[in-house]
Amino acid sequence: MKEDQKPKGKINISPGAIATIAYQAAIESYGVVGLASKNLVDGITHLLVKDPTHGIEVKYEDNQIYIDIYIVVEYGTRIKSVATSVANTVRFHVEKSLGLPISEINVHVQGLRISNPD
Amino acid sequence: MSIPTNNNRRANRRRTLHRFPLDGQAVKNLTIAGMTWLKTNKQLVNSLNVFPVPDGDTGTNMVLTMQSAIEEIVDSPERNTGKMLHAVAHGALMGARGNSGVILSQLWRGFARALDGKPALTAPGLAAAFAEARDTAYKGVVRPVEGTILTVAKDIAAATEAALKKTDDPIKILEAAVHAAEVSVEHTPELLPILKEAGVVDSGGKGLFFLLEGMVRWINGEPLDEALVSAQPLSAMDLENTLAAVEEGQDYEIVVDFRPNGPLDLQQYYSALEEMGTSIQVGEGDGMYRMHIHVPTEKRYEPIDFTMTLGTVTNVAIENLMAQMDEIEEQAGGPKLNLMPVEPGQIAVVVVAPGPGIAGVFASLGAAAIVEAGKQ
Repeated sequence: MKEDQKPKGKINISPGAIATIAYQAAIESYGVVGLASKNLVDGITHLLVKDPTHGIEVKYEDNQIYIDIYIVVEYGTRIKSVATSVANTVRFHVEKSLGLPISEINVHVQGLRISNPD
Repeated sequence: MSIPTNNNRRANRRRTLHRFPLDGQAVKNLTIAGMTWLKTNKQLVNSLNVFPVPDGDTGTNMVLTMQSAIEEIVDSPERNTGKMLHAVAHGALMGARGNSGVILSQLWRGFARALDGKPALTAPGLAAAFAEARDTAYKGVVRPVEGTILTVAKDIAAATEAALKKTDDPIKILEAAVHAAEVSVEHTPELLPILKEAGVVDSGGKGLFFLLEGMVRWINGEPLDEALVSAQPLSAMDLENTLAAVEEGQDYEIVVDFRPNGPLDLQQYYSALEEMGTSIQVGEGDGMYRMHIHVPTEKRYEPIDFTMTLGTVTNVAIENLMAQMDEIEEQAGGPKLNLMPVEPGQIAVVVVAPGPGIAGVFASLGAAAIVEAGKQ
């Protein structure tokens, strides 16, 4: 739980809320053709419940925010550039909405999708 | 306003290109021309970059991507158009940098695939290639955002297909592509609100336009090494050091802030200003423009009056340069620091220095800005 101490009361932002922002940014990022499940259990859960943060993991430890993104990339694009762009875009959007710095963004390329083999 | 020799060269190149099929070598020359023109206009493209992340590097990324593509083909004797384009696409893929670079490499990939094995570039081939480039680029993203380079690629494909009904000249098709790109880029703020808020057009789309326009400019024998207009973000305007370059006939420095009534035709604005003075700089940000110019005494009100006809002038500053120069010379505050120029998107070093001596040392090591502080 993200806490921001204020003189009167406090603001809590759940990791889920942050994940939703990250998800929206990631899905619009060029080269990303989908977000992937981190593991089998996640995959099965996703089949049953469509959640708006699929493929995004937000951790909050010692006042630091960590985001892990699991993506599927279009075959034939330069994966490194796509991954860097996703990290940049997600960082920009989350930090802009949150007003807090993200300590770490890790991008995991879980697979490639081939729409045009050549 | 081209001089006769230009006209001759122009006619010659067009004739040569018409006489021979557009083979691999012609495609190579066109690609290099496109890249050269894009590079010339890199700063302008950078200054438009507000989406998806406003980091001002779109132009740089597109140029680096194209440079990698050119490296792949520059020494190639290949005459087959399809093979040459595959080499371009491969180079672009290997060097793809940033969002716009990745999209650009995808466009080339589709373009090359459509012309696979083709010996020469024909009008139908070119139109089909633009269509395939669009399709390939759109496949690379789940949720395409319109008002970007993707939209421009889509509009180019539609326009070239339509142009095919009127002509079978591949050069005319390419011209139709350039025209469509220009119109499409101008329209991008209507599709992507963030562009409209920032008062810019899409940077990636503009980059694609320059790439194609460079090809047509080369065909027409027009120069590729000089940008027609140069705009820069407000933050990059270097008004501090313009004093150093004061010459005869630059008696007053005029700085005008204004908000144009409609879209500002920078090219026209520049040429009008050139009639009045020198050291012209125009900066832009959030729909506001700042114009800087040095003018002789008798013309000191002209730029202001002229700018007022274009929009709402919010602020005017007039300084007497000659008087200032005298003052500076009197003070003779040591040698002028030679600071590193900064381009948007570049990393620069800002130094806090306590005195002119150490500041000079830092400047010689490549500092871009020096803050005088740190004294006890």
